[in-house]
Amino acid sequence: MTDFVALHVHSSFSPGWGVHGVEELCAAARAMGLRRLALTDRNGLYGIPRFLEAARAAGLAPIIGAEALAGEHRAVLLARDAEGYGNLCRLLSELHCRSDFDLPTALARYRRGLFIITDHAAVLAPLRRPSPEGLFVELSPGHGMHRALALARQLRLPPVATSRATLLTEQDLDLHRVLRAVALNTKLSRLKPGETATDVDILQSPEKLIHHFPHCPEAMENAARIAGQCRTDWDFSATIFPAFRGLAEEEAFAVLQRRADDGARRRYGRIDATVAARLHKELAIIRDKGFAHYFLVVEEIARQSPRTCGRGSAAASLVAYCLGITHVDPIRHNLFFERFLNPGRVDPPDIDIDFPWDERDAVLDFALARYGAHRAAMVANQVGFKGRAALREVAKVFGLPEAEIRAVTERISGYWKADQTAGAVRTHPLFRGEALNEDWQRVLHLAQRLRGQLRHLSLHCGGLVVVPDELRRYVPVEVSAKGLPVIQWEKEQAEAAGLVKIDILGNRSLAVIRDALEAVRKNTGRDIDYASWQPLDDAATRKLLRAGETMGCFYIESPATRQLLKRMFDDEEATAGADLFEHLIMASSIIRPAANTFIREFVARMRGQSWNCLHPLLDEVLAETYGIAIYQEQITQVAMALADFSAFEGDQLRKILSKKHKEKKLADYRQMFLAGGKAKEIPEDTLAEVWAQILSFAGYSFCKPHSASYALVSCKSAWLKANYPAEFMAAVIANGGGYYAPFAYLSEARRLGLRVLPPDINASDAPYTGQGHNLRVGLMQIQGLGRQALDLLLRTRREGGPFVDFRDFLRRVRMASADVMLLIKAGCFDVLEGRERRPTLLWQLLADRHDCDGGGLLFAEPVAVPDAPAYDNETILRQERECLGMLLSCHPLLLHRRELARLKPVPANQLRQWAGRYVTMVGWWVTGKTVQDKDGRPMEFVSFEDTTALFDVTFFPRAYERFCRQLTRHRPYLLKGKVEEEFGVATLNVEWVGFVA
Amino acid sequence: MERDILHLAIPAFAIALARVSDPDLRRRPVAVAPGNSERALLQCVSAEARAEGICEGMAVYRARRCCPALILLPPEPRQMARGMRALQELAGRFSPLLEPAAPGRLFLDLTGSRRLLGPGRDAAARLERELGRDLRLAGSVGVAGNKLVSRIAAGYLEQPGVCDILRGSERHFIGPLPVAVLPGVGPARSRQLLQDLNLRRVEEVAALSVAQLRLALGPFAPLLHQRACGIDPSPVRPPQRAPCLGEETYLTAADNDDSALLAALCRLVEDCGRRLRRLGRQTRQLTLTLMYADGVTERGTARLPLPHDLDLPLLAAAEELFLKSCRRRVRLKGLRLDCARLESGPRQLDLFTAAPAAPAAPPVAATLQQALDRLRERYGMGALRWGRSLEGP
Repeated sequence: MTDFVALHVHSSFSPGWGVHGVEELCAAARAMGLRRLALTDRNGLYGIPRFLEAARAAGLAPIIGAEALAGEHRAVLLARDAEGYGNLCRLLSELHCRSDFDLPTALARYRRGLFIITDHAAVLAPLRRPSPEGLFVELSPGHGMHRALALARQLRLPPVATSRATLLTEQDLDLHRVLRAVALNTKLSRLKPGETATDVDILQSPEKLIHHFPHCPEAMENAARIAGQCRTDWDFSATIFPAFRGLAEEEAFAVLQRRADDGARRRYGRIDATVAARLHKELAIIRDKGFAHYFLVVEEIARQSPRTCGRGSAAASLVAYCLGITHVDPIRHNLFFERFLNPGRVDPPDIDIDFPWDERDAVLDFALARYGAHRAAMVANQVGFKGRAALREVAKVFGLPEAEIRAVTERISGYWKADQTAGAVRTHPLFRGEALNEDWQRVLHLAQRLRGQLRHLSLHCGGLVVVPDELRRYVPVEVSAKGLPVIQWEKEQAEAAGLVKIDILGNRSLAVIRDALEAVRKNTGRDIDYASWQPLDDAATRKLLRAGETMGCFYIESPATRQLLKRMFDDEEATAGADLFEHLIMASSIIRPAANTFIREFVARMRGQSWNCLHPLLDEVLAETYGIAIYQEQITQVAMALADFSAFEGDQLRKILSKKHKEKKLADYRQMFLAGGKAKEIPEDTLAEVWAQILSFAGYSFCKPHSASYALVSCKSAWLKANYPAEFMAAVIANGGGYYAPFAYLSEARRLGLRVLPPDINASDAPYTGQGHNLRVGLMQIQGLGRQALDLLLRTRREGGPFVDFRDFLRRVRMASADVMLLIKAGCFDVLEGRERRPTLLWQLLADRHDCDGGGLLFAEPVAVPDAPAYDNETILRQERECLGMLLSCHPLLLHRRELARLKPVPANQLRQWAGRYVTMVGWWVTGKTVQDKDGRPMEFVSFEDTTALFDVTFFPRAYERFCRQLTRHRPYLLKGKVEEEFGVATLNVEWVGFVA
Repeated sequence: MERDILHLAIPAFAIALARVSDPDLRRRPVAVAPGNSERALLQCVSAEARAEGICEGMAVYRARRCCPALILLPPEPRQMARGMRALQELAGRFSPLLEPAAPGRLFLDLTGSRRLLGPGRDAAARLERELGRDLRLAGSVGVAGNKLVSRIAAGYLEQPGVCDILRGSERHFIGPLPVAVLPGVGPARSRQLLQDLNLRRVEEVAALSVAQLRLALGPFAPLLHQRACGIDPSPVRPPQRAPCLGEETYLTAADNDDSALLAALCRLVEDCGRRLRRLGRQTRQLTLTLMYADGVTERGTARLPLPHDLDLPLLAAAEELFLKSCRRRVRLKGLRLDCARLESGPRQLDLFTAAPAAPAAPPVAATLQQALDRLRERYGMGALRWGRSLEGP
């Protein structure tokens, strides 16, 4: 009886249906003594690569299948062999992509290599006629077994026993029903019987299941027979590369070699010995590995835009640099090609390219058009439940009102997982003093069990998969809401299945640089060549970077990074000799993952503090980064140096650290690391300390080539900010900004000495524009102004010249009244008509529209427009906030002048002079970041600004706990606390918070 | 003839009624909020609470933070209905021409009763006094020549009392007041149009011509202009009795479980059916009002092909209507069932049979229903119920 195999099993990859992850199912099956297990998720192979891994880890032989459900028809399909797998993928793709999909028809076409198991006569009967091969009738307890058995006898087809396993225990039914209610957008009491699993749809041991089949023991035997004929030694490890223009391998390599040589000559002027040797080495590996096609495909895509940023480890490749895929010189900056490609590496390389965010869709369209939907598709994101969504969806099922749900969920971080959320609601200070009633307790209890359950697919932000032949052979393809083809796997599983992903990502800063360069060319006639541009040759740029005045600059604008730069370069003498670019690379790497203690240590060492590596063996590896592991590849190198890992093993460790599902394997590597170190007689506590340092980078660290690529873009942004601040800040805001809101950038512009000019019907363009010392607000800032109206306005102005007055505007532009009203209230006509005439203009508009709409009678006299009194100041400011989303004419703190004069706060630009003392400050919220201290207690870093400068404030756990419920972005703060100075940077540790009345 | 229109307004009526039965609530901040949720929205706020910055529509948890001493009361629809009836009875002593406007507000037309009741302001003072004496309620009374101005006058006073507007000076009285006092100028119109056009006071609206006002307000302009000039010719209309009956229920705890909701609906049907049969009427139309916990109210109507007064067919129709109307997942806090298009049942007697003789046997269902009704008459509604009116475990 132990030969029985569960052939119909749903995991959490059955969207809106399955409860348990594949790992749990495999463990449970193994505990029951099963030796094989089939995974048949609904309408997809969403979790197959993970299932194969989990099954093997549990010692089970995996069988690949799916339950196809379309309209009234349903069938379980199991792949007998590779052909069957291909057909299964094709059938599931059609199921998702064709609106006229009919399961019996599709099965007739794709039945080769598949076992078809169902109790639907309408599916079986037409297939039975040509041949009964591979057809079985499904007998499941609780699902009309007698009817199914009668069908088997009538069609003379063998019956097969399944338990339609969705649950592991009866208690899972509650969660399953909630999942169904979420998926069907209904409530528990409205779920119909056919819409959910029943409490007998449990993964049952053969011993238990056989009790249901005393009348038909052959059904159990047939399950074993089917499983015996299904392939279980699936191997997805072979990499599937795209093919470039149908070239043969050798031809592709020849093309690549030629283009790399041309590129090298373009980049370096001539090919010297170093370059030639490096090119030769890289090309040899590329040839051996057969990656030539891949490089050519990526190059073709990258060529779609003149400004790209090839990121990731690919930036270490000279070939990629010569082909124009990346822009950092790997020889000059000492970037190791081995991190990207090495002879031992078995998995495919990964090249990610950033494009300006508004050009990305066009690039994707190009790629999909070039390779066609049958060969290319996007990688998916598998959307499950995170903390907030889980709570929200379960609460909705239980009928809690939206306002009540929002009041809880708005305090939950979007990054928390479902089980973290449940804990947080009980202990987080934001929820202090609120006893959760019974309903919420139940919601929380269920929500914390929602973890990996798949809800639906969405598009990965840029992952593109291209194969040489037919994509639907390898993986089922769906159509996204945007109409793009998307595979059923997310990037980890796609990679595990050998599909090579090319990431085509959107980057706002590349668009900022493009727009700013264009504005500079227009305003000054200066044309800068993007490819040969060396921003760090400029003294002003270097000064700006060293001072950390980098708000608006790509990747180094966050408060934490600005502070880090200030700390690093505050001591000019000690750091004068430091290579700025190298240190920028380090800064942009260390800021991401490291705990504060590492950063503090790093800055101290950089500023001259003596240091030693944790072990002399690490000296060579960590010398360039002051003895602290900063880059991803240093993990590999540390493991190699200390524990004698091979390059491949070290690389595997690095990869596991950056993956999501890592718990089990990581433990193995830890053992291996400790054992390797012990063998070299390294003290155990040193090993433990090094391991802890490695772990602190888990999942977040960058490799050096990637950081170098980013740092180059950062430097280019900084150059523009230092030399053309108006054009640069205009481009930053026009492209949607980065870390901060437009208001914060405008304040920064004022601090840079720029004049912020209000929107003007004749002078403003759609985006913000900058020239000289002026920054003009763009019409895009007017909230609610339609895109069509804006285009019409600009077209009319371009064709007929500037508007003379409001009447001229009304005569020439036929725009909806609501849009014109917005223009008036935003002050666009103030220059032509004067601010005091705004209400009169509104009356004029109403009169004009009344006449145009035929409202006036034939002989009626035209209505005299009343002469309305001017708005008071308060109304003007209110309209500014309403129309532009912020105060533009003055800083909001200036509205509280009288109160400020009484309070006499310390100005932010003098904060450093007050180090070590208690002060009172006034600030306007700019941005904040909640983190956890080492004990897991929440705290927050907040940046405020007053009219003189930005300043950073720390709410340590005690202050945070006391004041977190009061924090808002719309009131001026009164802050009291102690000024702390570290490495020349002063911050305020808040102890009391109030508001300026 | 000069009109004498009174408008009686009792601020925060629900709270005023609660204070009658519980004097401890007086002079303390009180608000009415449904349910026991921290996030329920306040429906009614006392003046003391308002002074603390609390207003209608605020969530309970926020209100508590503003005013920790706030006392919260649940809504009492029955008490409100009783209070409103008492108010009408009291006002009815002065004039039969009375029109209930909103909870705690009514219009009274005393035109032509000057010889009987004295001048309008005297009658108003008496009304206010009797209100305090008989019902122990305090309210303000506005007296003017029309409904519009009397209503504004009643709201003008900060303390309870009588505000009498000299006939002919209505326009001057309302002129300096903010435009929001005019009916029809809600938050949206006030903010979007009148504030943008810088029309802040009633006199500024009155100063414009109708043609100018029409530019901004369209067809509403003549009416608003008339109102801004203090003119309101509308009569005081006593409520018309509509031929319908209805029952409503508030659940002990808001719920979205159909079995609980259908049980509540069944009890409503039983009550309605019993009242129909007592009146000897049958209904051809059911209207179900669903009151959701988030304040949304939805209504569904079903027309019955045949008139009914028995529980079972009514229940079948009501359940079908419920499943069709209740499409949201949000919990319901209350249900109301109205029976309209009432018809008299077949009461035609047999022409040739002696009156007291036994009539032809009624159908079984009707007999059963009669038996049930008799049992319930004797032992109460709870003695015998349909199983489905009981909530599950």
